[in-house]
Amino acid sequence: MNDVMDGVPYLLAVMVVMGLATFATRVLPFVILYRVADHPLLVYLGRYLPAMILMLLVLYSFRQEVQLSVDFLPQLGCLVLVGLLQWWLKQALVSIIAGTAAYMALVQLGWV
Amino acid sequence: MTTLNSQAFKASLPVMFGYVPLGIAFGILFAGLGYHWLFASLYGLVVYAGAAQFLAVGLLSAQAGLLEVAVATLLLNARHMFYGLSLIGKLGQSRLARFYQIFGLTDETYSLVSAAKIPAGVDAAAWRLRITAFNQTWWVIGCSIGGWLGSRIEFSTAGIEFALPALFVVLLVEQYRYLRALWPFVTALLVGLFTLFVISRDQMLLISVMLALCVLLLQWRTGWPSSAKARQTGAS
Repeated sequence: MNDVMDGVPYLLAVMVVMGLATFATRVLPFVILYRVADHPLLVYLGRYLPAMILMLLVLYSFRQEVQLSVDFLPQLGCLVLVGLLQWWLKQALVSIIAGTAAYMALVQLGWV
Repeated sequence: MTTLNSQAFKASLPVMFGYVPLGIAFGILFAGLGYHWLFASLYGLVVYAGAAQFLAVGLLSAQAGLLEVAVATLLLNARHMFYGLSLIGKLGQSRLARFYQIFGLTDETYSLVSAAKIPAGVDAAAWRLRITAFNQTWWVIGCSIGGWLGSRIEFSTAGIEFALPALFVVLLVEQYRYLRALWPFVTALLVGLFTLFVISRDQMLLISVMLALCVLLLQWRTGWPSSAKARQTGAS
């Protein structure tokens, strides 16, 4: 329990940094971007960059595990499951819970 | 006054059904770190960003440096930068109210306050402020329930960290539904794999986002693929 208590300043520091960084992304258009909001390059980046960043975040989540081998098939299977459920049902919560439950089962059965 | 509150309350109910369960998932995940459950509520109050808070659990358990926390959060929430553009000048006169609405501009709040369906006869700015407040209330309630449950119930949470990439995949599918183009996803996948295997696994996120930005700028200059610009000008 001691090391957990030692971790509280760190926990709060991460919280403050994360809060400020989140606020920064939300306030930016109101303080800077409104001047250049109509610039076609900004519209172009605003359209395509979020999709690319999301794809990179999926890879980032598995940065230590991604392999071009069958070892990565269970993770890949669960990700595809989430994608297909979301495509068909459009229920974010169902997709997330089903995929996570499948992955937890694989982990706890020792298959991952 | 009361009709304003009750109308905003009703409009926020769909968000409640999303935020309370998702907040509970965050709280349970957070409780696995061993801190007091009230810190889960505090994160919901101070950070108030679903995906970022899920990311925080992974960063906290890896004892990530504060710079990495800042960079990862900025990239994860980069999509928010484009939300505010349509709300400029619509957030009311009070400085404090404007500050709070910008602070609370999550995906779901944006989808409600940017919609044209503001009830007739109510002050739009006041209605948006209440929507923001109700939505955060649902989120903090979810985080608190989850944190409390997670600190009391003993069950194996091994593998629950998959909830974060699952959330990314959900957002990815919705992006595809919106863009109807495969090339941004294929390009990002190739750039990401190249960075992972050839450049660096640990510094993967920042490097690959920079590379992706370079690819986009290059495409902007050369006009390839030709569909990109046509679609963009057609939509805006």
